[in-house]
Amino acid sequence: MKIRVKTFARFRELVGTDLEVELPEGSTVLDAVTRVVSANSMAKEALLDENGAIRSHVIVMVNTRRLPNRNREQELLRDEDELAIFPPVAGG
Amino acid sequence: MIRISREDFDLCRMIREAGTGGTGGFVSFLGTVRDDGIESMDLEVYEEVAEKELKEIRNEALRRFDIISVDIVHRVGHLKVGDQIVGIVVGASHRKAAFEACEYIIDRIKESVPIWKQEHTPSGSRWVPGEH
Repeated sequence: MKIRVKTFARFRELVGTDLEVELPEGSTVLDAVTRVVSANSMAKEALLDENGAIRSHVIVMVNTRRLPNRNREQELLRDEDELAIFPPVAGG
Repeated sequence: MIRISREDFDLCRMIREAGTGGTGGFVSFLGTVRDDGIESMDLEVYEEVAEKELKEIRNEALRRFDIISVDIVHRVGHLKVGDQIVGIVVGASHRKAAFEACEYIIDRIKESVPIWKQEHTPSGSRWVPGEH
């Protein structure tokens, strides 16, 4: 399946944005994030902790809905989903 | 009116246009680019989510406070020191609710609307850390 990945701010600078990622059926949010950072050690450091979990301050949305931190890594993705990954916001 | 804008805005016009017969006063907030040793900044946005979130903040403010209207404009793109960033206008029958609602709205914007600031200084660029 194909999912679209949007990133913003510092994460966009590290991995780019509007990415298309091909993943096996049954892949989770953690699978997708791990794939996105796999080729870039700075991105990996910024998004994942030493155990390979998504850092708690990283915000994750699927189809513009924010996922609560609890259990978000195991959330299943579907074909054509839009995954957004970004650092804490700083508007206003 | 709720808007993410690449253009400047006129706060006085926002106030004039928000007026109704029942409004007894307006409280406005105007956020501007502060000179923290910077030359300019770029504001980046996740636009479809930011607009939705601003509308949600307006609706929540209308539920929580005894107010009549909420208008918000948030600029994105390249801004210089002194430029306007965000304008909020709250109309109410009485001032107390309008002051409280306006503070609530800017606090919520800072914590939940997906907008990021990158400041440009003579020695390089830096992302403003968000609250978490």
